[in-house]
Amino acid sequence: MATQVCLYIVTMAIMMLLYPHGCTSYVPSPLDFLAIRVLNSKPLLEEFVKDPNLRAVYYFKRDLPRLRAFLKELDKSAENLKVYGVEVALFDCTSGTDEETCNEDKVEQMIYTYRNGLKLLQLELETMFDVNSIMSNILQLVLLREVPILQRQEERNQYVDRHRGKFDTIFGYMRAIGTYEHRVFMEVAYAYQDKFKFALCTNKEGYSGLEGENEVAEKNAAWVIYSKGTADMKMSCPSLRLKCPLNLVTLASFAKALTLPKMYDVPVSGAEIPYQSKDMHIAYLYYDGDTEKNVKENAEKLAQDFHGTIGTVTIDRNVALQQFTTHGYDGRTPRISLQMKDMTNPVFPPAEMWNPQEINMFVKASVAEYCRKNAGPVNPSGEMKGEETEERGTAVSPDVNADEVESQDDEVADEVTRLNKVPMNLDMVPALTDRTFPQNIGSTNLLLVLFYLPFDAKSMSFLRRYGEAAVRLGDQSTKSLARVNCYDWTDVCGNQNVTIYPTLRVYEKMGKVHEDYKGPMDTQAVYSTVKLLQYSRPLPLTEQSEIDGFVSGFFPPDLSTISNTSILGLFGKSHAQEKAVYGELAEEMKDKFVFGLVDNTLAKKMADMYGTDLPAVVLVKRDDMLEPHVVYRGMYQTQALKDFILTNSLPKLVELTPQRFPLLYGQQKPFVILFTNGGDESKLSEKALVQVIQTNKYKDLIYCYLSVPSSKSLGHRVLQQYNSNLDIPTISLVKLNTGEVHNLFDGYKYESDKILEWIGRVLAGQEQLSSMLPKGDWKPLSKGYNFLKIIEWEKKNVHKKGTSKMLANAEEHGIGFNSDGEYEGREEMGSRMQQEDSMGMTKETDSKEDAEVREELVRLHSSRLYHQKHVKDHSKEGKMDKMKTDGRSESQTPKDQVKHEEL
Amino acid sequence: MNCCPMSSRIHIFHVLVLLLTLTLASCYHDYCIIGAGPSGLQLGYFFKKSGRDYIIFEKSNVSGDFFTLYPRHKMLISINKRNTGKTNKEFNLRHDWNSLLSDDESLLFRHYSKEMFPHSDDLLRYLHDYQSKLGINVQFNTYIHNIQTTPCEAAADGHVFTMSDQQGNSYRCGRLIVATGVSKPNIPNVPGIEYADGYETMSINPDDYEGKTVLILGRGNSAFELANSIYGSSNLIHMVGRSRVRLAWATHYVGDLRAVNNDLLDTYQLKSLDGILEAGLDEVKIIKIGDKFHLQVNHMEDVGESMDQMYDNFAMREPYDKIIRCLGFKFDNGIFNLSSALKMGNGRGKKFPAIGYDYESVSAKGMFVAGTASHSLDFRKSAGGFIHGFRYTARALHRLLEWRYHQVPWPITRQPVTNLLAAVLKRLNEASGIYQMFSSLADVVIFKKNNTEFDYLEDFPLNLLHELPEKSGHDAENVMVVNMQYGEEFSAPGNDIFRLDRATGDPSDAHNSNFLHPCLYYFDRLPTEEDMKHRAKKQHLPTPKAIHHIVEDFLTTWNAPNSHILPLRRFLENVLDTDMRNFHWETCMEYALTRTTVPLTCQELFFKGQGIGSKLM
Repeated sequence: MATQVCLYIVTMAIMMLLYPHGCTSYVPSPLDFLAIRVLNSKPLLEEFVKDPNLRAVYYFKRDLPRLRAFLKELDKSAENLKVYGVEVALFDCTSGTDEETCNEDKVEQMIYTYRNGLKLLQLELETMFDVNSIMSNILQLVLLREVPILQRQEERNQYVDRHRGKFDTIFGYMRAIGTYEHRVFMEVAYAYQDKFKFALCTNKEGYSGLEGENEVAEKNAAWVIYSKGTADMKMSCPSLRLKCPLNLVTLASFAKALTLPKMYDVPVSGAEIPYQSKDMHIAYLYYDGDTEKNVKENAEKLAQDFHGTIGTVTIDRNVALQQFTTHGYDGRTPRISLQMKDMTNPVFPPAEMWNPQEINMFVKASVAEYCRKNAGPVNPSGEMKGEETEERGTAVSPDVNADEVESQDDEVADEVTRLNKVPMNLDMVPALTDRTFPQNIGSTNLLLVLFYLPFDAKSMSFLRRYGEAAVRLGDQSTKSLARVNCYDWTDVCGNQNVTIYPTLRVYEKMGKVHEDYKGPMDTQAVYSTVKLLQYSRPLPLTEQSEIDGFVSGFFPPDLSTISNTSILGLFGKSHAQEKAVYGELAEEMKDKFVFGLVDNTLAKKMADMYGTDLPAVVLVKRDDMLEPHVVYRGMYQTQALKDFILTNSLPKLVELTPQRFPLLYGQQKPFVILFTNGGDESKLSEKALVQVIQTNKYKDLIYCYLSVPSSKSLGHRVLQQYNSNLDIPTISLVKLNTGEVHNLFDGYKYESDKILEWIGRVLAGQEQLSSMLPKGDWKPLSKGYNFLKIIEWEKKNVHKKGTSKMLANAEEHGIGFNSDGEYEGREEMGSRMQQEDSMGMTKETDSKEDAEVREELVRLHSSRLYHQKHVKDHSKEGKMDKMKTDGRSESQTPKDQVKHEEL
Repeated sequence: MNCCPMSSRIHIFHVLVLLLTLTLASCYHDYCIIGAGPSGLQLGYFFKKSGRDYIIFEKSNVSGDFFTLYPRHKMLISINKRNTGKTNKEFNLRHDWNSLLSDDESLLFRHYSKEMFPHSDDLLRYLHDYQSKLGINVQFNTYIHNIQTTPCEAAADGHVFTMSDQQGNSYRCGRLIVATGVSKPNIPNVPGIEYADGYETMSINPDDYEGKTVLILGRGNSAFELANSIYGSSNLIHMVGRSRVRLAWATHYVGDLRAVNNDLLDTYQLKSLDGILEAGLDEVKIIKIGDKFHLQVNHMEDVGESMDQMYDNFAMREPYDKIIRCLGFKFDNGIFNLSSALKMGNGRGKKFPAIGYDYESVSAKGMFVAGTASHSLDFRKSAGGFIHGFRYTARALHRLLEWRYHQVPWPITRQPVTNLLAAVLKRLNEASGIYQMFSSLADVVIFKKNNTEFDYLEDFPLNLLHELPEKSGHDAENVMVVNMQYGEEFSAPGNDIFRLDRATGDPSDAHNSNFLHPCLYYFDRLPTEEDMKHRAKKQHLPTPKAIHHIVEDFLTTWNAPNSHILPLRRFLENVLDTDMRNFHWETCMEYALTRTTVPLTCQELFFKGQGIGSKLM
């Protein structure tokens, strides 16, 4: 067997010689990219990233089928990005370079971006699966300052306020970054950045308060916010929504139309209507002397509602009849006609239709109908999945969804990977081996050994915290904490019968006794456990000062950092038996509580102080204002005493924390939860609740509070489930096993008797449910790779013969290329896409239309960015000049603009 | 009665019986192993460890007698890779092909030789130490023969085995384990074969081949070993064998021609007189003319001179000075009484005794075959014919016997299902048994208690899966098998194992992995015997409910978080139909406060006070 491995390695070595790019990797030659530059040396790379324009670099390390598909997409994007001054390069890490970036973690999963030689953001490949996502992410970087992402209404308002009197704002909402809509928005923003301010959001909160927010049925929308005309800070800026679904055509014409006047009155002399040349929908409103005022009022309303979508034209009856003979106008006033941009002449609704609502409805319906008929890709971003599988370039079963399967969704595993680069603090935790393990456990009275498996996320997550605990323990830990890597020393773990990872085992008495730690995988918990184990059990207290310190948490000196509970055993000379029971329990619960022992004359004094007789066990709770101590009154039996300690150790009104929650939950009682933000009202409510507890009336409830410090807190999310009004304070009574939630009436929450009554009614079933917690759906998040299906699919769809021909080609010409050096996978893919098209998708034609729009956008932009070096195309320059003479170019460049803003 | 074993039932009877058995103790054993070679000793170790009544009969006076003569040039071709860069002792056994299994770390072959291909004397020394240090019960100088079955009602199998040695002593055994290896030279029925020297007796002194023209019959490792040693002194060497040369690197079978022996391929392909031909020996004869030997096509004589001229370019028309047969070995059935002789296998397995997947002979209940002689089960596939393979099949046999005869079930570890991913990952990355005996032995996970726990069985014979409860002593309904396997199309004599697409790195393409990689099979019920019979030719197991391939890895380490572990976790989640993600404790608490149920790991860890501390930033 091992020879095979060796041979394999030898084979690899040979392949390295034959194929300088490495055995399994294959770098398509630079000629095979249309736009990506291939760099293979450090100086070239340095030169490349030095540019003041954005530069994107992919560091290529090995060839993967998925990567190939990605590179095709990146190449297409690179071509498109050129007009934005962005260049894309592939740096070939297999060329034997010493470029350090090649060795960075996850380098293969990132696109690196640079400007002026400085490294900017790294974009994860996971979010860059097609041209849209690549373009939008990179453009977002290019326009980082120009197009901020504003997720909250306040942020948006502040942004808009900054531009009051100067610019109108175009605000976009898209369901995610990296979608088609996002790309479109960025492209338009780039072109119109000197005419408007742009910003976007990806959540509901971001667009709240804007016009027609409730009509945002699609996953995207855009608005104009009139901040230019609303200089008065007291007034809020009106906004207007783009009436069609957001795509390149609609958004580009929206922006264009917004640069034009809202209304236009045709002069008697007649002139070209500005909207006509702009390829817009136009509404004509006809008037004569009598109706002029009324018509113009209605026109204004219409213009207000449809600015950016249609051009509103008022026209004198006679002018219309004389100059617009083809309209088919009958000369009546007031009258309206509507000419959609695909029409040569306007259409007239029934003559009697004139009131503003009717007009509005009519125009709205017409626009909607037009949008529907000319809809772009039905839902471009919705297509992503389909596209993705198509774009893989090689035949892949539809059951393969690598992005889903191979994206980490385990927060613990993710943390481990994320922190991989941050070295663990393990200096204080020696790694034991087959030799040192027996030596170590045999030579000390207390040794905690963490047995872990490096492939196991839980293990590694605990190991990091364990190391931190050791640091916190400081010198005292040098001999108390150790670890065994069960992959390195499988024999050591095997001999110790460790099969569960991680296992933290506590060895005591020179390794003669051991027990597994059952506490949380948490730094503080380990720290406390070690401290507790280091104490004598029970801990003899002989001086009054020691007893006082023990009760108040200062003796032993660090007691307060370990536990809020002290258990004090007070025994006289005749209480040997009770003392023994106490001692047994101290041993049994050694890693949970500290047990103090007073058996001298001070015992009696202390018992008196707590109002009891000897023998006595007093549970002192330093964190319980309500009940600072409890005295045990039962028989001296280990179990009874243990139950007493467990049930009484927590405060009467306890803060819900993850540390305590399991113990509380395990009691299987209903929870009374106070949601508090520490404010005055919360304090009032807390006071009332404390009074409730003090009545001792409903003892079979757990009284607790959960703080809601912010809208991002756990408390907030829980409160949201219980009380969607998000009132703070809220008092809820919840039965977690059945999910029944009752919220206390707002008016009741400051009065203890009202609370008591309410609890009574809830427990008696007389209160209506406020909400019902859902059952958790803990099914697998992903189907994973269903290899049975994948194999079946491949049997049907991938012909072995074809494969071998492809192979032969690949050997000779490179993967995916035929003997003419043409990319073969492409055609196949194209034909598949066309099939899709004939099935009703209009992708191809749309992208043509998109292309035209894009060209125009770029032209528009270039006309102003005359500083930009990359515009070398003379034909474009020609057009640019023409545009300038049109007077539409402005002197302010984005650079000036930035400076201006910075000032 | 006096033929019978002391069964445990008799034990509890009185002293009389005990006395009787004591008098018989000298000649009765529960287990008799024939042969103190590596597999006999390996089994002896396990019997000793489990306290069984066993004895090993060895015809010679040393352990591993085969190696006193073979290989003739004294170089073992089992690798002795002493360094792997890892301290994991289980993992390191993946690359140690000579050690037997034991608890004694001084009994690792690395301490006996520094050579990658060690001297066979080192192995002899090793086997001697293994036997003596571990105190394995071997009776040397005992040539067993005349083995037969004798009916006995009290015996578990209804009979015992009786046999004698060369001194006429007779022995009785409850169970018989044949660990005699495959050591009888294979001499085909070819006219004139007596003119050929045998590998077993040929001279190994290159001087004896000085200026000689040599024909070697056979093209296995022994044939090439000889060729290697004499191609510098001989005139030329021709080799003839039935099938094309099977290169171990192409077939992934260590019994095929190994690179260490294949110098002659160079001199043949680089036109240096030496040559290799494909021809079946049943078509030729050897005739002696003067001092020289001729190889002739069998039917030439019948057609006379004219035919000779027709074949005037017959490759082996020139005479040879020496003909050596290196045609391998076969199982020696001579130790058996004719009536109880072991039935031999068919086809590929014809040189081995016929046995079932539980290593029991088809000829007699209670008779088992261990070591190289059991290689019929995985001949030309896995490593069951070699020390590094049969040390594991011997252990498997021992575990099967423990359950069958002593009600000791197959060892397991019972674990919570939250540990399943870690348990599987650990085995994938270190286990030697399933790695060496790939697709023969596999790990089995038996789900228990409504899928909240599982039992993990290591190194169970894959082909006994349908009989898992009967053979292991563990009830099983839904099980998962962890197997190591090569890609279907990868291993074959003529395959180009250096082809460009030989490796895939894409987890979603893992089923097209060519190199050895893990494959997990989930069965919601145990396959039946019928299912096992109707496996397609290249299927290792019947089609399961779900299957998961883990993509081959250049380092044969399956520890990449996103490429290996994550897809595996998703597979396990789907098998168990539950979310198996880990959560920090605040997430668990949030779920507990906002849902009536929580994810598995919150249930099993957090609720039990073993949550994972707050998320680190």
